[in-house]
Amino acid sequence: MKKPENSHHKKSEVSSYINPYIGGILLGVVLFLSYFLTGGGLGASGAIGRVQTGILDFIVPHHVDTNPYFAAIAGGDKNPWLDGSVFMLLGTFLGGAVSGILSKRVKFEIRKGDQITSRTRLLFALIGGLMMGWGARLARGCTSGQALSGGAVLSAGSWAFMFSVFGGGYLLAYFVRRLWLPANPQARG
Amino acid sequence: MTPLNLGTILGQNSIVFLLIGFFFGFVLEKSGFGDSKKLAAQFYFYEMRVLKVMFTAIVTAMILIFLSSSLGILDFNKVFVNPTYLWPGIVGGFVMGFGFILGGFCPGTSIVGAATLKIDAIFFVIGVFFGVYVFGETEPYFDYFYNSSSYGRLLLSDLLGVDAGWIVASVFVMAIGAFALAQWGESLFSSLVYQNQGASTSSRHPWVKASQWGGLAAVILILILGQPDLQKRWTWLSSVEGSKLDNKFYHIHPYELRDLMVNKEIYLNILDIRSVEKFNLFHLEGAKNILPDTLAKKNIVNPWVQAPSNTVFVLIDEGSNDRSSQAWKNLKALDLMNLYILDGGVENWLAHFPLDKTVAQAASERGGIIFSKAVGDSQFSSYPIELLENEHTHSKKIHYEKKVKLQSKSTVKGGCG
Repeated sequence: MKKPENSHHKKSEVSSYINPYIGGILLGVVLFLSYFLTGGGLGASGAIGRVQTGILDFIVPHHVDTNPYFAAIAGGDKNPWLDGSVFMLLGTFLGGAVSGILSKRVKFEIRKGDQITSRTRLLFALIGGLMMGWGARLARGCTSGQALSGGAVLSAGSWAFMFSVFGGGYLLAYFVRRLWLPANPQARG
Repeated sequence: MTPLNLGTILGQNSIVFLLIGFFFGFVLEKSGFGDSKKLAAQFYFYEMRVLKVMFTAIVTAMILIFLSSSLGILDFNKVFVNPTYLWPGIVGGFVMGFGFILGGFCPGTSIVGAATLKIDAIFFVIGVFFGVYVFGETEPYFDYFYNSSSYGRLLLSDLLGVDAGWIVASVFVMAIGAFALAQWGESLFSSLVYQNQGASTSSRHPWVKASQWGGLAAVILILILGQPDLQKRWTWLSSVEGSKLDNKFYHIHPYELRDLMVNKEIYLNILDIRSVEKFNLFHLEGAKNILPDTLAKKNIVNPWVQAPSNTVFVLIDEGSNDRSSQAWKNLKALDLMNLYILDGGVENWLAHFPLDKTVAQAASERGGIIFSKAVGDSQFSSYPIELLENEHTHSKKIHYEKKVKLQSKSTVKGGCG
């Protein structure tokens, strides 16, 4: 096994992304402010559920009213759009866009491993997104709303959830390494 | 210092949510979470950015939250804690883990990726929308599982029965260990996957080192100060609630309690805090015998605090109401809603709803009731519903001042409801 050569490490490669620990501290401060100012944590999937139900309510209102799960969000006179989480989702999008513009990272591109075609990447992104969306509703939260927020307030279920997400990821990672790793990795796995 | 209740002042303000979301998205993007390759790298060990950012954020927020709580700036009981639904969380978590490694994002990061026009992120977002929709369509078929293994608001510290400060300290130590492992893993795997890439030097940044020491100091402070106890919590409330209690604002008439007992819209909890012996001699129908010192126990009180908002609690004492006032303060300090005291306790109750003379009679000298035998456990639990019918037929309804007004907590939901 070869020892890593630190001398080859180029600073410019990573300089545009923030030091992960400092990024984490900033994220932690934002999360704290969210709890301090609103009483609740950060999140995205709940708002996505609201937007989805809102769109559905626009197309087939009768169906929304008769499905108990959708009706709880947008049944009858309920307005799925007017909720703090929806504004948070909008803010997340804007914040990501502004940071991307400032760091000159906004461009149409597909990020993928070298071994797969763009078409494969997009297919798996769609499948992965579907599983994420479905799982996030079952688990009552996504990585931000359950793992990050619930983890910080020491919710027992959120910690069990967090280990499950990473457990699931690591369980499958080896078998789908072609999706992400270069063609000729020096690695055995 | 009384905690600021900003949640109720700012909680519904859309601008606050928009701004918090903005900084959330900004930091996510700046940390590299808009790039699926950076995120997926976590699972191949060569760049542990996800772990570093997420775990640092959890530890930072956790320390700030519990330090504010220790200092009395933040009332932790008013902070939303994701309710624990154990198995749906674990199964959902594994499905999400599979989705993470296949799709390269999680819902929050995909929004940021889409905002920087990463086409794979846009496809992922479309997938998430579809997944959320499919869940909504299929949920009625596994509604039972979705709502199973529910433990409500369950903190790790409740589970292990220790002060939250010890969990905060353990998570801090765990994080330091995880970061050391991550640095070591990166130095091992980055050269295997990509040649010429060395270990990350991110932990050597002077700010990072300073923050670690700051974090350690804060953890020690949290441990020393501890979380606010009942007495401290009562002092926050005492200025308003104390005088209300002294003016018998929460003391209800026996007839009001009787009307609550027959009210089908109300879930009534009668908490009889007299001794076991006295409870066995006589108690009200449906009353629970709870000794005052158990009222401070979290595992007893937590389910009550989380009860539906049409739940009413009534404390019953012998006669003087001293002990029930103390119990009332303890329970109020734990944020129990709709909490009342039976005015004059059992003695006043029996004065309005007297028992058969062969069982009990009023002691003439000092007031109080003398029982000839212990019967309370079976036939003489008091449920004076016959009287109610008499009142209607003879139209001599007793008038009293109604004091019970149902109040519900200002509920805050997390972003991922």
